[in-house]
Amino acid sequence: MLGIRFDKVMPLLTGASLLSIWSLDYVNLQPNRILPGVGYSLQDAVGWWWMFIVTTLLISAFLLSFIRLPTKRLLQLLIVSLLLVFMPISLSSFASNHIPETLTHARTGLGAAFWVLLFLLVLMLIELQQKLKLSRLIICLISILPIISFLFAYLDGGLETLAILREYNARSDQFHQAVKVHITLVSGAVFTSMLLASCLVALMRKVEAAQKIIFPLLNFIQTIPSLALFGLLIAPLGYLASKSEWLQAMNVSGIGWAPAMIALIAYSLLPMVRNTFVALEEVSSSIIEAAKGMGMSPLQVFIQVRLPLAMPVILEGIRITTIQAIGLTAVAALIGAGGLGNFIFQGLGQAAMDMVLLGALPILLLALVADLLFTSAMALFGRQSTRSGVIN
Amino acid sequence: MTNNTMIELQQVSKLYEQTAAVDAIDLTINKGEFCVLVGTSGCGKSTTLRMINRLIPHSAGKILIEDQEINSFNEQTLRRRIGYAIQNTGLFPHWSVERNIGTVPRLLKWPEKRIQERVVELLELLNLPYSDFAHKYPSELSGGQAQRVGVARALAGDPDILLMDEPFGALDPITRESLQNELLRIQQQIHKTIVFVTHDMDEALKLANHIVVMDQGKIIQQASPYELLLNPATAFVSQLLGGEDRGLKQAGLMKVGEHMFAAKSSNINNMVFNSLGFDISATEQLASVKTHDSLRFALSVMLWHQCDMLKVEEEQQLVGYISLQQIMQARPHG
Repeated sequence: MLGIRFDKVMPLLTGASLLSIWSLDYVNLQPNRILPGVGYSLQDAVGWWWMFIVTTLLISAFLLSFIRLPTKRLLQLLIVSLLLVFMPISLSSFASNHIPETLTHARTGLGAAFWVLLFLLVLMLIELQQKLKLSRLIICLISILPIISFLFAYLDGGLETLAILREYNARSDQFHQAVKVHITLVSGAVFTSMLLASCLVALMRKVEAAQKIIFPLLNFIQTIPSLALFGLLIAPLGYLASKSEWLQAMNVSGIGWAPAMIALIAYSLLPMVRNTFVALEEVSSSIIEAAKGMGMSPLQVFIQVRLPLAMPVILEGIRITTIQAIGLTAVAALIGAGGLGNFIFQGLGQAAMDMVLLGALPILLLALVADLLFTSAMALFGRQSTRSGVIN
Repeated sequence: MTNNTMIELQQVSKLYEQTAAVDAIDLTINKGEFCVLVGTSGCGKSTTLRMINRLIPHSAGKILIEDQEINSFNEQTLRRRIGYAIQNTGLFPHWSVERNIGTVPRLLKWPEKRIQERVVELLELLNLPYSDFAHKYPSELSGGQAQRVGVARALAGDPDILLMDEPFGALDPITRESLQNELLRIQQQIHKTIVFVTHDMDEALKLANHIVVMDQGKIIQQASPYELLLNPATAFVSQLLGGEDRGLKQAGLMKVGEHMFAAKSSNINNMVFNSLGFDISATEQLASVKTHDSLRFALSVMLWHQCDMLKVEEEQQLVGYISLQQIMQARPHG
């Protein structure tokens, strides 16, 4: 037995990456949207020269795990970044080598090896971030690199045949509209539920009995499946809209944005109210007593002490709510609310997976961006707070 | 009431439902006095303290500060005039030490420059160097340091009265003792009127010049530490004083310097030693104590070294001797 303990994670991830690019299809080429495609391995797609480079890089990252070198993790990080930059370029190189100009409807689908490699590289990035104790900011900067190389390849025209971009180009207006609707629904719902939650929490803090009504009610709403809630709202809203001209003028009806918004707000209330309430209540009573004893007025105690100390947990509630709403809004497409969910359901209906991706990937991206924004905000507020957050 | 009175409680009660947490107590606390309320938990000492700054409203009776009924003040104005320190420090974790200490001056709308000067002054008073501590956050402080900051914050608005609710209760014995000494040193400089709550009789005996023993919402006895030790009014008080431990506690209040015989010329020493039946040639090997040590400490040194005579030294210079007989005969001056 050697007395030295090696990393197990990096060899596993790099090994799996090697295995996937040598055994699975990297891309597949469809002559048009209907006909089945032909799979290409990475070597077929980009040529043996690139294949050699990629393999060498992965093997080096693999071997680096077993040697004692202070900078080995930095080298591994460099390799991972290079490979991430390479991935969009490989697609454009494939298109220029294998797709004749004459095939105007040909489209490149991403194969299993591509997804697996991307997934494993991201895992490596996370692993290295933790081992190197890098800040999130550096990881974000590294994640921007492949996006830049993607944009370069895209502007160069090399990615035109990519299936998801074909779908995008075919309905770019619709796509932009959908993104706008999606973001509007989410921010509207989050903002409104923030206001409502503040009122409810204020009420609960004044009147203890209100807690006994509000929490069970919100819990109950949370247990209704989202699709069922959307459906349940159709009838009453349709009835109200038919009775009120004012509602009609606002374009409220049994389907569309109104029931979606109501359902989103209803779902957002529980995490928002619970976190806000618990955060405010949990502030240590000795701190509040000290604040009063110093001669702060009730308003000063709230603004200067209670609220800032509760802020990280309140922000956590808003973060959970936002991410949850981004996902739920996809389902709202089913009742005609629009948004990115449209592409998912249309794509499912037409068995066009690329169209599903056109809806699903931006939703994923939105959720990640929202998560990043709130985590940074929480880091700002939470720096001095020694209290741990309330678990969701 | 003389104009030497700072705080006066007249027939003050606090009722919860129908039970009295504090039951018609009368208490007068003079200016510059260190008054310690002591008793078991639930005896009403903490409630009494918190009624003084109106954190708890009193149900009956009158509480006067410098002859004025506290309800005649605005609640916040009253509290800004009274320093307040509590057991778990209650420091604001999201504020730096400097900002924490500046809380009351800022509420009093002092100019920024004056606030900063006050913070520097207080950190110095509490032996916390400004450059090391001002910008730290409470989570970066040890328990003792945090409590020092808590005391500094209570003193920041330069109040005449300082209320302290078991401020050292959560500290380890060594830190507690050093903070007690510090508080005594500070009190000699600032002469505030301090009302201090504790359940620890030793702490009370050490700090107070006016001890108020409470039980079940009533004042059982109030006296100076010496009087209390000499004449406990009830069995409850003598139990609080530790029963037969009282002798040791009393010895703990007396200083070696006040009861030793000072070293004179060797001839006189010789005579005294002879009269005590003691061999002068053995004095070189005697264990030593300092003038500020308590008689209790000296007794413990004797027991440990199995001897009945100690040298008293100050900065390595012999200043006197103390014998077991002197300790036995010692009576408090106060």
